[in-house]
Amino acid sequence: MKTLKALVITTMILPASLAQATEMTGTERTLYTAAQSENGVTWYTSQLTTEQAEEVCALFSTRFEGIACYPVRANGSSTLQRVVQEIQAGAVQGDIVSTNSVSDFEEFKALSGLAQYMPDNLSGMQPSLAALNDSDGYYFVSGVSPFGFVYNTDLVSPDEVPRSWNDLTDPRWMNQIAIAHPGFSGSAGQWAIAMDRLYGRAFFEGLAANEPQIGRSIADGYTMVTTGERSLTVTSLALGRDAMRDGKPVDLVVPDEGMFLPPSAAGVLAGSPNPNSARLFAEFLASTEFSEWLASKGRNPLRTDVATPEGTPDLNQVSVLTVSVAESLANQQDVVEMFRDIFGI
Amino acid sequence: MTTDPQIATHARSFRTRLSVLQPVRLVWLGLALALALLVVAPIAMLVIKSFTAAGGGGFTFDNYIAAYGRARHVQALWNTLIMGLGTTVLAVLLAVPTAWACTRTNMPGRTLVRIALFGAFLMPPYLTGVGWILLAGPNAGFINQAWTALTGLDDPLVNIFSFSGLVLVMGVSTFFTIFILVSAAFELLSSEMEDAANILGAGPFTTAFKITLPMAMPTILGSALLTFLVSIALYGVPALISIPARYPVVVIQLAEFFSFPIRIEVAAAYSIPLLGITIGLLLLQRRVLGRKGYTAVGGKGGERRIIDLGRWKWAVFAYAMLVVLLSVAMPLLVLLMAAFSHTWVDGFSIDNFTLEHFHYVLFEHSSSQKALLTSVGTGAAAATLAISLALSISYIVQRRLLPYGGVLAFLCMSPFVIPGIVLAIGFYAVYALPPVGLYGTYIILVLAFTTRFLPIAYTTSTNGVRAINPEMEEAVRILGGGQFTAIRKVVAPLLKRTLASGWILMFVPAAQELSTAVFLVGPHTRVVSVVLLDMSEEGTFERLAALGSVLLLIIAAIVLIGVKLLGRDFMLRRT
Amino acid sequence: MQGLVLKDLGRRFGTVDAVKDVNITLQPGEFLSLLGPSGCGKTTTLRMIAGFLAPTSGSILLDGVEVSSPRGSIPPEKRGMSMIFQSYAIWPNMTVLENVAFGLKLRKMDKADVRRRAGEMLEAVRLSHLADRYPSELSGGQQQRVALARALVIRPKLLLLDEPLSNLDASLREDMRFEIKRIHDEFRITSVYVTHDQSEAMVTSDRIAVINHGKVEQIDTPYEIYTRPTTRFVAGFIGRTNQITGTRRAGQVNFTGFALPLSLFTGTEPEVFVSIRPQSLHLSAAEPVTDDLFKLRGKISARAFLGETWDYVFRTDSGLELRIVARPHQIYQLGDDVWATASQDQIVQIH
Ligand SMILES: Nc1ncnc2c1ncn2[C@@H]1O[C@H](COP(=O)(O)OP(=O)(O)O)[C@@H](O)[C@H]1O
Ligand SMILES: [Mg+2]
Repeated sequence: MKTLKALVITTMILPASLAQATEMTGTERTLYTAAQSENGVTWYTSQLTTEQAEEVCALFSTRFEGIACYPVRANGSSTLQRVVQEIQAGAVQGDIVSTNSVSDFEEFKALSGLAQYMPDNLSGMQPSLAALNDSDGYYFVSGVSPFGFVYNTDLVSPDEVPRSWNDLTDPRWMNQIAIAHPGFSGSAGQWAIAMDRLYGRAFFEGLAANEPQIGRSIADGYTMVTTGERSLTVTSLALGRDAMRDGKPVDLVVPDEGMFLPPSAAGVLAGSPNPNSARLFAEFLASTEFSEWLASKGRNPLRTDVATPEGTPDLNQVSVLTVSVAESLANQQDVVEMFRDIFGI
Repeated sequence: MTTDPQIATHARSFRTRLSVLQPVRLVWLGLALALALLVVAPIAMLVIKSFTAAGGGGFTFDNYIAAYGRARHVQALWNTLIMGLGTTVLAVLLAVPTAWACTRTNMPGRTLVRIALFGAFLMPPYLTGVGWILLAGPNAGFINQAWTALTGLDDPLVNIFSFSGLVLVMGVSTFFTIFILVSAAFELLSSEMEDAANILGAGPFTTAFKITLPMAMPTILGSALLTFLVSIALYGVPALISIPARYPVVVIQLAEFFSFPIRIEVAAAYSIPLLGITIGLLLLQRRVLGRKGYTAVGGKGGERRIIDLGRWKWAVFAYAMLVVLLSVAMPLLVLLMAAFSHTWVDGFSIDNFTLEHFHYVLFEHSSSQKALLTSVGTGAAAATLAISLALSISYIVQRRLLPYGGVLAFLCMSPFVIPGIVLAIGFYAVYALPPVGLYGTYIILVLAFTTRFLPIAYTTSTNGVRAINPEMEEAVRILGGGQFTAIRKVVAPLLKRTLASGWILMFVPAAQELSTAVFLVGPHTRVVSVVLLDMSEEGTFERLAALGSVLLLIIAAIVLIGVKLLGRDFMLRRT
Repeated sequence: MQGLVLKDLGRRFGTVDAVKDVNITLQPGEFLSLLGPSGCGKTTTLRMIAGFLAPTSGSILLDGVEVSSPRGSIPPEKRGMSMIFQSYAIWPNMTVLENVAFGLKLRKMDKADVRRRAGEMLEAVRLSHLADRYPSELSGGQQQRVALARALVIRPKLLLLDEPLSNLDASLREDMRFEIKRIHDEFRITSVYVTHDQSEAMVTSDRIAVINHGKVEQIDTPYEIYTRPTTRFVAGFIGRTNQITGTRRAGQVNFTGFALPLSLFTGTEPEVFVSIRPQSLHLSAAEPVTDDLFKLRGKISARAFLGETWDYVFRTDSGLELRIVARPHQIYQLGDDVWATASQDQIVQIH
């Protein structure tokens, strides 16, 4: 009886364990061993939705059996607030953090809140992305999530769809746009910096005139569009593809100026209560498994050894808009303030 | 002359007893210290921080300049006052006629209305807010869907993301306090006053406006003031509505100071006026109402006679039902619908029915299960702690066991004037940061919740202790029992009801608390309200609704058990 | 010395003397009433005796031992006293039997004894059949008797009663007066009884201490207090009386319309006060043949028939008004010319 049960369990988990057994690197193995005496990893993230973060955590705990993973998902500014709070309180409770705003990491760095750790697995990272990794070795790219338009096909016909970012100022979209507040959402903050560079204050004034619905996270705007509350939003194209796959009435547009590309970054927190688990998780974010998971979700993989999934634009072949760390640090506060002044919130 | 040896011994040990009185002082000191830590320290720290340059610098006014130097920040304060005023007016309009109808008239279904409105007490404001987003989202909201389907018009009928939407949700979330206090006042009014007017030829409504209402006016004004203060400090509803409505208010601005770059000192400076407004208004109220406080009602007791509304009774009933619909029935219904639907916009149908969201929040989502336990656990711990503290203090104050009891009483009541979010900032500054370093622990949550709801506990305790005739205890003493025996054998059993009802009154808001929790939770101490707020920003309303329903269910179950134990419909009658 | 002694006892609240210079000695087994108007300091005195309040001056001795003084007090639970409270203070969370047995249990008596003595006590107050009821299921009089039983069952050295009947209705109150008297006679427990009702005090007490403004005005037996009040306050407070003022002059005291020899009075002050009870005055239509010094002529100016008595107001030409109580058959009409007389020993000088 007992053996039978054991057999069933073994067969069930066999494929997964086989896959990982062959692939654990030396560094991973060392960290894994050390992590076993720790209490799992707490991952602060605004990079993914709650559901995705849960999935990634589950994947991690399957690959590194016995290492628990607790995702704490919140919007960019809440995550930033939480981490800075902990660093200042000298009571760091999280182990690793990832957000969609590289400038957050410069802030953490300035507060000596990050441990210097670059995963070994970064060696397999696409060169264009690896170039964005911190040259001081505190944080690395953990995802790219191109932004474009997602619109509700029940409410907007294909020939009406906007082509340029600047179309958001077209009165045609009065009361139909949903955006995330750049003061709350990290990636929306980065996007606002890019828009400011392209079109300046006029863009925001024109957008404000269209009375967009302002949420705290880009996921909010996306839900607004899938439910038909709004017809058009600026959000992660990957989320749009998820919705299309789920049969929701939405479609994507890549604006002519190019997709906006906010890189997500991750870094191990200094003084993290579970340093080995944290580093192991960092390795995981840079690993083939994670890139495969990204690809399986229609997202751009980080590594050269994982192919970009079909239907997802290859970043090396399409035009993209990016914001450098320097630009972000220089402009973020001003742009957010301008946004607040124009939108009154 | 014979001497009773027992008495002689005591006469001798008597002088030593006097010096042993010191431990009693220690009790006072202990309680005072506890209150100083819970109440004084956070507020003192807040005031100090507001004058301290960031990074531990010296004295400065810069924080105030940073806080109020921008038109937008001043606008938010102004907006807050307008919103508070609107909320209060709406809450009074919802609460007072309903309270009158439920207590003084023969409106049909009075008990039903009372029970339904009790649901408004159980429903946390942010859930009401989500319910209303589902109802009155400008395009997808059910009301607007129906409107478009009915009329073919594209323009929404109602838009929750607007000033009026904000006020509506705030109003229906806060009017219950007025309802319960004004109901109690109406129940105390003697009918003879009304009869006197009736005899002179006044109809039921004339009597209500000319006699009943003016007599309950102190209570109405007092509870309205309370509602105003609660509404300007409420975080959950503005977090959901005021950003999309582009109507900035103080609590949102405070949250902004807590985002990049974090400016606790500016946040402290920015919250001082809120504290000032609260204290000022309460002082003003004292001034206006004299020392009677807002529970004062002219003429106690007397026979109460039910007013016959005649043919108007169905109209009044309709109004009461409208209040029930707006505050509880509609938001709760749509929340439940969403919780059981694949996609909430599609409405409720067999095709759309699912239990997946419950499965998700109970078994898949890594933090909801724990958050439920944390909410219930910290709520229960805070309720227990606050009731114990409040009961000890009110006993000491009422029985004049120690000098300066008034100081303890004042400290117990003072969190009343501290908006939750301001308290959280103060708590954060004192306890989260080193050297105390309680950040991310359950302790800091329990302490903050205890402080926040201490006034409720103290008021209930005081009423309970006051209801016990001191002669009951003296009877124990004179028969040979000590003070402690008196407490154990008589006071404690007699206070059981007070204890239980006070506990429930504390537990319900503590298990749902958001304003204080939002800055104090750590990754492993997240309470349901915070998880719900995080869920709300992703727009996953179905899951949010499922988790919210589970929380409501647990709280309702605990309250029901409590009500069962209490034996009577507590809160529905005068407490 | 056995018994209770209050020595120069005083209690001050802020600047107000609630009780001042009270001196009372109580013999074992004695029943003393503290009688006085509301607010005169009766409860304060009683609570000092019980030990709930410490005196601010003077002291209390119980059986020769000082139990209270401004330096402190032995706590109530160590005094071996009992008290019956105005509110009865019956514990609503205990049955009648539990209430009565409470004091015995505190004395660590064994269970059988507790049950037996509590049972006997309930028998004595005629409540045995209600032993298992809760107080809320009892009438006021029954609750009163529970309080009595609870206080007496421990055989206290001293029983204190604070207006124990004031919450009962009139007829029950009368019954209970005798009940208290009966039980006191049965157990002979030294008792201090506080009341503002003179008839309660008269029925129950061996002696009455009349208190006014925190001071004892007179301590005496009910009969003495009534017939020989020593102060104007006592004369006025106990029963109804006619108080007349006279002035000393040349070997006699002049009153309005008549005079009495100086030898009847003590003291030297120019003003003299006397009290004559309405019952002590006699009316007659014809001038009575008597050597009473007090004989006045006047008219009936008002009258009321009260059933058991007539209540007349008698008025002399010089304006003196007296109330006179007469038997039902002594009928006079308004305006009738009548004579009023009183024997000399009914004229009591008061101070
Ligand atoms: N705790 C107190 N504080 C201040 N004054 C008191 C207190 N207790 C009694 N008094 C005052 O002392 C006087 C006597 O009161 P009390 O002994 O209760 O009178 P009573 O004869 O009616 O029982 C009253 O004037 C009362 O107001
Ligand atoms: Mg009294």
